[in-house]
Amino acid sequence: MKINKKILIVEDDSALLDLLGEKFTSEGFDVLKAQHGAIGLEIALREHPDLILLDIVMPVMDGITLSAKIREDSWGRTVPILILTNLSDTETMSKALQNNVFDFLVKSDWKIAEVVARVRSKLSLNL
Amino acid sequence: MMCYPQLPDKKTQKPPANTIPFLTLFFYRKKIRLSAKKSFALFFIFFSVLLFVYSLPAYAEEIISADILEIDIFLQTILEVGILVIFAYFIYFGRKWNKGEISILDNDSIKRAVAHVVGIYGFFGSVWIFLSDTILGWVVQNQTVLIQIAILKGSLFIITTATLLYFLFYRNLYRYRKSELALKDSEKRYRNMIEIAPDAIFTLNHEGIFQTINPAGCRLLGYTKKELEGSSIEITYATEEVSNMRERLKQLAQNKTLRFERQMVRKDGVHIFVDVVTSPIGESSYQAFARDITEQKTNERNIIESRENLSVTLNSIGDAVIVTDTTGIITRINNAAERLLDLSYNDTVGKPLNSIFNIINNETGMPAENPVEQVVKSGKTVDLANHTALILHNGTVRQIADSASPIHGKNNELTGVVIVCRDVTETYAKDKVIRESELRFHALFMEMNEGCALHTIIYDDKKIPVNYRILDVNPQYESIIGVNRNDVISKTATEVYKTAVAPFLSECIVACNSKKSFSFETFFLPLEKYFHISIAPLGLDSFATIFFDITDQKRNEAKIKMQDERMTENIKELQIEQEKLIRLTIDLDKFKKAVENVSEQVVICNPAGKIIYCNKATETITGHSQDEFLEKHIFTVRSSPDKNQLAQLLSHIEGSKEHWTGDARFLRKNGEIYIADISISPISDANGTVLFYVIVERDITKAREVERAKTEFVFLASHQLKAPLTIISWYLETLTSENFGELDEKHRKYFDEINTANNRMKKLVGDLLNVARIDMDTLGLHNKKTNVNEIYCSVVKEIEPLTAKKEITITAKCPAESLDFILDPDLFRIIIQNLIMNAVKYTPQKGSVVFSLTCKDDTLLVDITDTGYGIPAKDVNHIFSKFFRADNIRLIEAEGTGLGLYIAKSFIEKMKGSITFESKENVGTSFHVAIPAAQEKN
Repeated sequence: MKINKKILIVEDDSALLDLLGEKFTSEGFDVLKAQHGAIGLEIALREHPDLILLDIVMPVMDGITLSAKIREDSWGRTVPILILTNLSDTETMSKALQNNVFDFLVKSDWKIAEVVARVRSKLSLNL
Repeated sequence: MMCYPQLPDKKTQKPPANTIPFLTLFFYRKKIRLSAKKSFALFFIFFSVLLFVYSLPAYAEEIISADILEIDIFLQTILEVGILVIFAYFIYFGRKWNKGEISILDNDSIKRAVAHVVGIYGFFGSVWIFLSDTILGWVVQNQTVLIQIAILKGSLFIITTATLLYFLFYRNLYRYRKSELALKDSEKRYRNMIEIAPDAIFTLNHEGIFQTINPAGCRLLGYTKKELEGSSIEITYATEEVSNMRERLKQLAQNKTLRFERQMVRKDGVHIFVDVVTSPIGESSYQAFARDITEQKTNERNIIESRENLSVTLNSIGDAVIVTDTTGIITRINNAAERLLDLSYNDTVGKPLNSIFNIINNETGMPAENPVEQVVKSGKTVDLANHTALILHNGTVRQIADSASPIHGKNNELTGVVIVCRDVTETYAKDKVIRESELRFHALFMEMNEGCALHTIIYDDKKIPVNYRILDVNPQYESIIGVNRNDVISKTATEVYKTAVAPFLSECIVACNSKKSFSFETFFLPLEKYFHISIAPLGLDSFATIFFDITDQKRNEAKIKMQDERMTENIKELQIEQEKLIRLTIDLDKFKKAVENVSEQVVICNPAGKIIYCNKATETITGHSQDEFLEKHIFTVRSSPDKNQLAQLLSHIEGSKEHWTGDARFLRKNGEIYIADISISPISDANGTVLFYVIVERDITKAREVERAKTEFVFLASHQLKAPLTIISWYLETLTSENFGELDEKHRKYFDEINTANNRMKKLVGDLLNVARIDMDTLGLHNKKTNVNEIYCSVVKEIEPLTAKKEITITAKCPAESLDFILDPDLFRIIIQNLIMNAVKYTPQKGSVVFSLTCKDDTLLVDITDTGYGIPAKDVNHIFSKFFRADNIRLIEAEGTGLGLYIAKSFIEKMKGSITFESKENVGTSFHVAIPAAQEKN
């Protein structure tokens, strides 16, 4: 089933990036992939996705900086950002939350299906 | 022919040559007391002789033969030679006489006469011959006439010679003889006179040898005539006057008459005084008259002495002595009078007394009566009034004391007045001072507050003091002792005080002997009072006592003594306190030193924030020196990179009574940023008023860095560990999802096994992370309001598969309404997870777990009870240890990290809670957790 929603996934680990991409694609999303923050920012500003999945630990530009930059953009201010990271420290969490991310998930604690569910619920797609 | 001038022959030449010696004689005539008359006569005679002798040849030619002529010539020659001899002798004689070697009192006056004759005659003879021969020779040419003239000359010559001889020689001789006789006669008379003369008369020769002495002289000198005759006058001379003798002899030799007084030494050595008149008599003698004036001299001397004594006495008297006659005219004054009147002797003598002795009465100012008049009137000695002042000519005023006395003459008639006066200005002034001083002391004596009595010591026969007599007492004495002055004056101490022994006699003696005063206090029995008595010696025998009543004082003293004792006790106590204080100070010092040197920055400020103390660490940490900090405001003196930081910190000081801790970032002086852990504590007094704040800061920059590094490490480590686990689990998930494709049993089973293993790994990593956090103490508490029910429910839901599998029933006993508790939800979740997990894992099939949750007194109480295998007794103490798994469950349940309880306990303790349990093997275990509510803090 096709959902006309664009999802931007910014993740440096290619294994995860591919998997996530496939998953969301199989769910019917349009998936944009970026391997690090700089590319992610560029794509985001260009493509204006409906939701952005961000890792934090990335080369070139980390997730927090990226989210801050996105938020600077007039469009970017409102785009929902979901942080997917393995960092579990509260400092990072709070920094991320400062940038108004709607959720902060520790990858190892969550199933991939749950992540999707989250995304769907955020985008008000209750399926 | 001899006389003819035209035939110069030796005869005519001779007279001129022969006149020269006689000319000389002429000039010597005075020396040999030869009168001019006599000289001429002598010369004339001699000349006549010469003429005759020269003339002889003239006649001889006619009368006599040539032989006679030769004889004449021979005679002439002899005569001339004789003349020369005589002349020579005369010169010799004259010179000797000049020298005084020949005395003119020589009895040989015939020689003198002959000398005269020869001399004079020779001279004039020569002249005459020359003249006559010469003139006659020219004038008369006739030989007969010449012969006649010659005969005439001859006759004349003879006559003249004879006459002259007579007059000069014979007559002189005769006269001489006559005079000699007369002389002898008068000599006799004189000798008689001399013999009987009362004065000493003696003659001396020119050498001073006694020639004649009269009896008076012998008596005077005590020698016999024989002894004196031939002795020198020197023997009568006192040794000191001998030089005078020579001088006098010299003067006498010069024909002077001398009158003098001198001492004469008698034979017996007695010195007498004589008045001597001496003059030369005759040619080589001196005569002297000497009168004994010893007595006269003595009298004189006495008079002089007494006069001198009087003068000296008068002049050495300090007192002025003025002598006047009866009319008041000053006849003499002494030196002192000159000084007193400031006038000289000459200014006063002869003047009336009134003109220079101007006296007035000191007190009335009126002139005083003239003392001379008073004496003359009364005829007695008059003393002038005491306060008489003398006004000098220059206006100076002198105080004088004087008296005037009459001077009586031989018949007791008044001959004059002597006034003796003394300048008493000084004494008067001194007296005045003394009088005034006396008045003052008397006033003091009378007015003084203390009683005072003057005494003199009374001695017995053996000179031992036995008593004392009161000389005077002052009014205060009278009032203290209670007696009247008149009753005690001149009485002895024993009489007045009615005691056997004079009170304090020994003390008085001591004072007098040592010349020092001393005081003492005593109880005076006769009056039954306490007195303070001072005894002051006034000399060897007298003393004064000064005393005052101190009875009251004594009473006070007792009181004071008591107070004093109390005071001493107080002081002792104070001293103890002081010692304590000192010890405290020492302690304080230690603390101060400690504080000063700790590595933490300690700053003490007053309630307004002014720094009153900062320790050394201040400099180390902030970079500002202690001086820069002192007196400044604590948060204005330094800076922070965070804008509101200082203001926020300030809020914890100003008036705050709360203790506050926190972090802050500051800038060091060199611009470095550092993080400090600050603790602000107010120090209040008993009333709660804040006295000052103590701010302790610790530079935790490094610690923070380390912490951060640790945390970073942990996070990175966890991140790195977790990433592959995520991949595995997500891929597994995808692999086993429905959408992926069919999986046969075996695939699925194996995938499940991988999943399980992965989950175990995840859990282990999670646990290890937690353990690392716990160990490195990097756990941060994020307390917030938490719905604990929710957590419980979610946890239970999580392990649903397991509970279902083991058919374990979990019962929850929660309060109905949801419990919102302020704690860290994440940590709480893990705690609950671990405990419930354990309960389920370690309960066998079909067991039960009861979970109860209550809140009591702000403490969350969680109980988890299971019906599990329990904890063996021996393992009870180990179950909270890292990696510990009890043996009994190890066998049953191979899985398990052994970290669950360690983590749970650590978390609980981090939340300031506690965990306890009871367990019985194979029965069950019950865990109790109590977590107090935290303050909401991020």
